[in-house]
Amino acid sequence: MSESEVISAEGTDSSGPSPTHQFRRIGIVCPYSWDAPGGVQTHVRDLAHALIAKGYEVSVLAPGDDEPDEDFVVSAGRAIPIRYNGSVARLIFGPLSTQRVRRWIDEGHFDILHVHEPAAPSLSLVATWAAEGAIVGTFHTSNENSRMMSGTARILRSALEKLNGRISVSEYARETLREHIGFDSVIVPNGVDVAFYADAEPMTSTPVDAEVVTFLGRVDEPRKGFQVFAQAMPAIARERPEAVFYVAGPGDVDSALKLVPRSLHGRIHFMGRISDGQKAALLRRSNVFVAPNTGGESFGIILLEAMAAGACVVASDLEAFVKVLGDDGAGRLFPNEDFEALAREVIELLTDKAVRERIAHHGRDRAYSYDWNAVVNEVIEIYDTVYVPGEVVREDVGATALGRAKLWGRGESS
Amino acid sequence: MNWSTWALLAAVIIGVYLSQLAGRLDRLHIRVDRAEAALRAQLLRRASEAIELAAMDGPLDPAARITIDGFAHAARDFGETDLEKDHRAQRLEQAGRNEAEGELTKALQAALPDEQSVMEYAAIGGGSELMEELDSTTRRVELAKGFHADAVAQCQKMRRRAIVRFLHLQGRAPWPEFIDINLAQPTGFAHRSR
Repeated sequence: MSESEVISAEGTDSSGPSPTHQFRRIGIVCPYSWDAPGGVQTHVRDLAHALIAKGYEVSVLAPGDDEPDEDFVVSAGRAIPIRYNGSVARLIFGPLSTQRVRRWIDEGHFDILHVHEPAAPSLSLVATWAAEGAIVGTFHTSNENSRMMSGTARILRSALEKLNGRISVSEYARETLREHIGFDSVIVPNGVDVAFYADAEPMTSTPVDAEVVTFLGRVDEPRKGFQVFAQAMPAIARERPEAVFYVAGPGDVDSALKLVPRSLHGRIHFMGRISDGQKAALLRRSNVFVAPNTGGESFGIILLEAMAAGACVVASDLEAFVKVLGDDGAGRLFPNEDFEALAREVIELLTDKAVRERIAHHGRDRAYSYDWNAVVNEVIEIYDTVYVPGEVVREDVGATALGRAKLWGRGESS
Repeated sequence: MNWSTWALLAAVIIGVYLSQLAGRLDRLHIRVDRAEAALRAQLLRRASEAIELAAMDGPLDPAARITIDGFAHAARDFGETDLEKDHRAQRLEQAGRNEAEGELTKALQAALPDEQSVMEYAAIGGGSELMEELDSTTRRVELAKGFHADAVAQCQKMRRRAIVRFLHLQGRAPWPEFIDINLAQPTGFAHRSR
């Protein structure tokens, strides 16, 4: 009985192009803490689920303080919080994490190693450096204003040369990679689990006639743009007496509240950090979803999630957002940081139900073209092109001085 | 002696006392400045050696190398504080530099957490010298930070005295501040000291 028969016998989804080679075991490295929310983490989680649904065996290595919920996740230990690229990143590196990465590679017997965001100083870069075999890397970040040291580019180039396949999630991520390191890559867009959002039960804690305007993201991270939303609130509240503001995401609520007039405090609901289920319920109940991000967004997966849930999206005109929304009226844009324009758009959409529903409808259609079910096939095609039958991903023993000494010893004894 | 002679004598004694106090205060401020300059010099050395460490294709993973390289450059490139700039601009620059130094400390700690990681470096060409230099520099950074804190504490204590505040003896000298950043030596070097 062949492998594919086993998979379909188990009732898994085997649609899409069938790979020319039989590879089963896929090791994925997520560079950021598994217990913290984030675009890359969500991407990795959804990709892993989509691959498992297609019958692949997946192991995800990620930093994290807590015991991961999913049984396919292996914790790489505690990450060090470091200011990197304008915000606090929790990174993992150094000899201690190297040992864990090596053990994971050694025990995993992976056919494919898939590292995410390997150009950041991260666990993924450590894994790329420590492994040898069929390695695929996905680049998420677009970075207009990062200053990369020449030394950094040199170190990166020599490590990233080992990637057999390179994927960028957007044109901007692709340009960043080409500009900084000089490597080309294939674009495979971020996927979204449309059904998860489209079928979620809407949150019921708000009155039926309340007009819910929602923001997701860290409230004390200026690039997420909460301050722009806060400035737009008074005008929206004045024009739409039923409007309420839902804010979900980590960060200091007290300092966030200072940005908003006291009279509005009763109409803002801070939900703090929420689970994916809560997020889906909130988005399903949202009439308008605002994304006033001021920069640093490479793709805008959160827009697709809101669109999948049927919320009407108003986003700042960052290039990545323009691209995701497309030009068929799947959402509204406003000039970056222009809170008055944001307020105008939100008021108009809350006022005109027909326009709002039309946009939400287009939005969901657009989200379907980014569904993981479709996107994962493109990833599998890339695995297929880099896979060498009969070869598993191994430790690269040449990568350390100790390893070199071992090789040396072997050379002498033979 | 009549009362006016006594008054004159008292005035002279008070005058001498006050000028001595002002002199002491001045010397304490100079000591703080010197201690800070000494610490900055050691930090500059640490940054240069860290850049060297990052450039070495050694036992360290590229993520650690990039992190160290980035923060070492950031710390170094803040350079000498430009005295032409106003006090606020200087403070901002100082804050940015201090942050980079603190992050560099964390990155070096992650790169050299134990004796073995230091030994692996020492085993490669040029690594042994660099490890010795970095060992000594990071220890001196700790010392210099301690001396600076000591000077600041004494200077602050003096400036809190009622007579100093009342007569504004410190003149235009700014309030001395502690340098509150983590500058600990990587634990990989711990075995070497003493």
